[in-house]
Amino acid sequence: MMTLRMALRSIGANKMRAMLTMLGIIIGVVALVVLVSLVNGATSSVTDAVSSLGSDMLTVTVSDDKGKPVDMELLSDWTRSEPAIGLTAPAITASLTGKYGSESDSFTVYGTNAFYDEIAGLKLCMGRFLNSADVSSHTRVCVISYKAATELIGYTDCVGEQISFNGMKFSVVGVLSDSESITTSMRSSGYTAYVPYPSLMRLSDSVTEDVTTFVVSAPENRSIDDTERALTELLLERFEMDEDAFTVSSMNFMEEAMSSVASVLSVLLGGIAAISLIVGGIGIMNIMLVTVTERTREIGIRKAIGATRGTILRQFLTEAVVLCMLGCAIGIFLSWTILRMVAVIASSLSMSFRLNGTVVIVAVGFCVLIGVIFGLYPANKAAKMKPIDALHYGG
Amino acid sequence: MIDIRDLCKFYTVGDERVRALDHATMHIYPHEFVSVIGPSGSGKSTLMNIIGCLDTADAGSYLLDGVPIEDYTENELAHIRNRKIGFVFQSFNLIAKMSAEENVELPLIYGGVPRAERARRVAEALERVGLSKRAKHQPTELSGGQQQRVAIARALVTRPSLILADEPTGNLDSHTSAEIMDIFHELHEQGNTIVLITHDNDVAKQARRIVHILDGRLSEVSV
Repeated sequence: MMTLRMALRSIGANKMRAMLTMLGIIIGVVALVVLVSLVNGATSSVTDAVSSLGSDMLTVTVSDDKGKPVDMELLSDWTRSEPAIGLTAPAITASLTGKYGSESDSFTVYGTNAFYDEIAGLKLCMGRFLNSADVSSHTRVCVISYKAATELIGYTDCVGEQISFNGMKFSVVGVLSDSESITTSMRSSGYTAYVPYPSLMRLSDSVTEDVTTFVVSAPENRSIDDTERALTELLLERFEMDEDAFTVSSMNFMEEAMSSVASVLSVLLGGIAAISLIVGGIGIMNIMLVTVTERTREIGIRKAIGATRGTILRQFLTEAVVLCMLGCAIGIFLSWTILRMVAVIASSLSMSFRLNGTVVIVAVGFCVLIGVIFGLYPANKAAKMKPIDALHYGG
Repeated sequence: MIDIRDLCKFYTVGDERVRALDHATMHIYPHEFVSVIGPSGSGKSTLMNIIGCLDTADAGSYLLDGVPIEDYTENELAHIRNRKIGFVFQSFNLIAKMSAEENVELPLIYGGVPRAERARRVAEALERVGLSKRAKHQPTELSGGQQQRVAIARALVTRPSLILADEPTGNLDSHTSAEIMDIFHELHEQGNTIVLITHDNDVAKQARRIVHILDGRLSEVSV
């Protein structure tokens, strides 16, 4: 307690110097806290976006149907009778050329049913998704991606416009919102359209009654892992226990990839910030050495009246650590301010930048460590002075 | 209480080996007021540093309260300085950023005295040197005589067995010097052991016993 008061006093006696010394630590702490918090904020919003887009979606690809193909009928049966299986939708794709007026471009066209948007977590910005009536009556309607609407047709409110695929006219009934582009862009680079599955069969010869790719969601209150287990069992049964006849994949890998990228980025940026903290620590050591030399006589007096080596060591070490901690506190306060400002500026990006608790604790711990490491040498130098030499120093 | 036998201390200045203390032998008994007088360079500061446990001799023995000092570790010496010896220096050696009160309190903090006890003893020590009213002043706000009185209070506060004064009046005018010497006389009458080191005959004469030091050799002079 006493040492703490003495330390605060001697720092207070030289405010300008203390401030400049702390600047290194302040900058280091701000860099560490702000960078890591930003990375975490950005990643968590991206991860949220990814997981909202069908991380609880399983994609099944059948490569060998053993003469017992999966069809639309079977998929609806599973939805009805299997408790662990939620919604199902075929997801057959075909690459077709879409034409609007004189413009034409290649499309990835999905043949599916009315549940696909719910399973894949697609959001609409205009119109509606396909409905059951479209599917059962083979209507020529399509839902197109935001990119297709804005770039090919030229505006988003294009419900009612007609796009022709392979010469067949499809009227646009809905436009997906922009955010779905994260997942679709991972699947294909071009435009995307969704049409009723039977309509796609007419467009492309390669598409038959046999559904070779479909997506499945978990019912409410059941985890995707349960669904995956039940589905795998059903498929194994159907395909003569041949594990190679089909693949079941989930979107979880994307989240995993995302979070591993984020942690690498955090460590990388944190490392750079840590280097600047170490540089700040060297500044502290430098100034502590100057302080020790300046106060040699005081050290001599203290030793003459009974201060032990340990007392002097503690005194100067406390001073270094207190200096670091003050810098750390100011740094954290500044980071908080900066993050608040970024949050206001970036509010349109729907990202949340908050002070990350873990990184604050890491910063505080690191500052204490730096204070001790870089304070130890000057403090020890002060402590091991001989009282007689110190007393007669400079006079 | 102090028993010095054949103390030797050498310094090397350039190529030359200077003998600061040459087989110095001296006994000081409790409640004595002894002055050590000698011209500058006679080795009196070296003697004081050794007596004050700030420095150690190269040869000879030094018993303080019957205990040989040579065997002590650095930390034990620090405790002895804290408990048994009170220093008064020529240049006062107060800590500039601390008030009179805090300067006097410092040795008690190092001695691990509890807070309430500290406050009582600091007030008592300042009272004894007549500076109670200036307790909150910084050394720079005090005159030389007042600063020296603070230093004496600091030396007294631990109730040491020995008060060691190195030219305590060296930086003071004759009037304040007399005041300071009066304080030493009072302290002596109250039973303190005082060793006063000086080059000033008038100051030295005030002690009951005078020891001359010249070229590191001690010789007694009876008053």
